[in-house]
Formats: sequence, structure tokens, C-alpha cells
Amino acid sequence: MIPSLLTHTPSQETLAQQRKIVIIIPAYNEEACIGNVIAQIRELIPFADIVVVNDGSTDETSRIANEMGVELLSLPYNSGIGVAMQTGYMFAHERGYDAAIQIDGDGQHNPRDIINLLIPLWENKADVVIGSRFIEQKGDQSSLPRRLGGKLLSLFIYTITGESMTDPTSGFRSANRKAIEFYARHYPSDYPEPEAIVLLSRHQFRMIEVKTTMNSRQGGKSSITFLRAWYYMIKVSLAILLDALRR
Amino acid sequence: METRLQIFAITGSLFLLAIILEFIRRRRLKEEYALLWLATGVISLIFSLHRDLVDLLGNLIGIYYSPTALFLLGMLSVTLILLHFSIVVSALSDRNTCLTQQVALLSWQVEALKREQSAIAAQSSQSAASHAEEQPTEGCWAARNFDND
Repeated sequence: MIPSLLTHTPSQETLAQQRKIVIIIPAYNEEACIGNVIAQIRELIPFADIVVVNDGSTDETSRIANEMGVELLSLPYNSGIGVAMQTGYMFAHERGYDAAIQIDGDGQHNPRDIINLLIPLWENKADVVIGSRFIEQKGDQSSLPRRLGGKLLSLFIYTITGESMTDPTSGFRSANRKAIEFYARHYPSDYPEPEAIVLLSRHQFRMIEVKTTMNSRQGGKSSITFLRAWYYMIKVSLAILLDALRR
Repeated sequence: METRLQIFAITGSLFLLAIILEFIRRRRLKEEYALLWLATGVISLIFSLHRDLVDLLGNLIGIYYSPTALFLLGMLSVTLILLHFSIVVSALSDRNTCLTQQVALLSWQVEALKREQSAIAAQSSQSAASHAEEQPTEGCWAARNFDND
């Protein structure tokens, strides 16, 4: 399975197996997809550990995760994606993983791209690699207002940090040991992805984007509804501004 | 201010102070959170005892109708108390988050230990069985236990 997806040198594969890699899947009511996602990751990246962070789901998410034998971190009640993600990173930090991947539990990220998120870490080209669906216009490009919102955020982040990120809201990322340790201490809470970029840049972490293809959602609902989109933009902008002021 | 009003104001202030003190005494209200409330109670008592103070305050900040100064003062203290509460709530929610995460991590650890333990138990009962067949006098704790039975 692995050689077929590894177009890189074979040493990459051995390297992959030598390092401790954890794949963190934050999940809030993802019973429809989580099993599929886990199975796919297992098949493609069998040498990685999988951690599901169950963010107080009220459905069968945790039972499915348990049955599939992955590590399960259960938050006692819904605490938001940021808190869930950080719990995953705390776990990764405590257990001394060399790299962590965060991937959504709803099946919109393609596990085939995981390896592309890892390679820049191994080549020591970046501390954090972000999967972007906009580098190459393939796969689900999401709706127009969302794309505009994303563009606006990109521009905003660029103005503040000088980092050009085409897909700042992407939750498909990898982190090396250094970044894992940082995340375990500081992780934004509410809509954390764009803010995390600003925080990382502020602390001189190296970030790059790689192209990934997104599937449209296999099930479940997006956490971002129309009304929330406004709240999202305002909250994130405010948080980014405040981060900038904090130093 | 009329004397009737003054009596009313004094009674009100005293009543407020009494309630606050009683809550502190019963430990329903922590001292650090009661401080601002106490200050509010004391200030309102002072202003109701000395009615000139209200006029003085009004003159000081250029309020033509001096009782308005009282409203201003009341608003100010309520605002301060609310701000204080927001800070307290923020700190609480941060700590709560931290606890939540620790609960998740610890319960993972408990599960992991359980799995480890049952694996060890399975292993030792297996070796106990094999030891019992071969050398009944030797072996691990489980094997000895097996003999005693």
C-alpha cells in the first residue's frame, strides 16, 4: 500500500517508519464518517498511531473509535475544536511523538495527502505544513462566499505576519516536535486555524503550504453556518489583532 | 434631599451591607469577590449619611442636578463589579479547559494501564499454566499461587 503512494525515494518510507507519528482526529458527532476515515488512514499510513479526540459527542463516535482500536481521548463535554486539538497535541507531546498530523473526522481531507504533509518536516524545510486546497484548483473548492472570506483572511494574515497562506482555515496540518510542544502550551480556542498561523509566525516557526485535494463532506454538518460565518470572521480578525498587540 | 429620603437611603445601604456581610459569614460569598460589593455598600452608606457630599460630587464633575451624580456613581460601581466578574469568569473558564483536557488525558492513561494490566495477567496465567505442567515448584508468583490451589 505505502510504496504506491510514495513517489519519493524509498528511504522516505523507511524514515517514516523510524519516526513516531501520530494522527490526531478531532471529532464532534462524526459517527457517519469517522470509521471510514480511520480505516483509510490505517491502510495508507499503517505505521502511525491514530488518536481520536472525542469532543463530547452525543452520538456513536466514541464507540466506533473504541471498536476500531484507536487511542481515544474523550473530553467530558463539548469544548470546541481548539480545546480538542490542543488535547491531541498535549497527548502527542507527553508521549514524545516526532510528528503529528491533524485531519478532520468528516472525510473532507484525503488521507493520501498525509505523506505530503510529512515530507517537508523530514526534509527539515518547515515546522508546520498546511494542506491547502487552493494551491492547485482541484477537488472541492467550497462556496463563493467562503472562498471570499478565506481570501480576506489570507490578506489579513499577510498584512500582519507577512506569511502568504492561500488556505488559512485549513485544518489539515502537520507539526514537528517543536511545534507540537508549542501547541501543547498555546493553542487558540474558538476557530483556531488562522489564529494558530499568526501565533506560530510570531514565534518564528517555519510554515509552508502543500497542495491537497478536499472532498466535499461525506456526512455530518459543517461547523460553520451562514450566521456563524460572520461571527467567525469578526472573532478571528479580532483574535489576530489582539495577538499582534500582545507582544 | 429630604429627611425621609435620607432615612430610606440609610436603611437601604445598611440593608445591602448586612446582606453582603451575612453572605460572607455563611461562606456563600468569597471575600475577594465581596470586596467590590462591600465598597459599594460603604460608599452608598457614606453618601446617604452626608447629603452635602452628593452636592459636592455633583459640583466637582460639573453636574447641574446633583442627584444625577448618584446614578453615575451607581453605574460606575456596577460596571466595575461586572468587569471584575468577567475577569473572574475568564480565569475560571481557562482553568476549566485545563481540567477538561487533563481529565481526557488521565482517563486515556487509566484505560492504557488497564489494557496493560490485563495483558500482563493473560500472559502470566498462560505462563502459570505452562509452568505448572513442567516445574511445579518454580516460576512466577502466579505459578506459586496455582500450586497452593
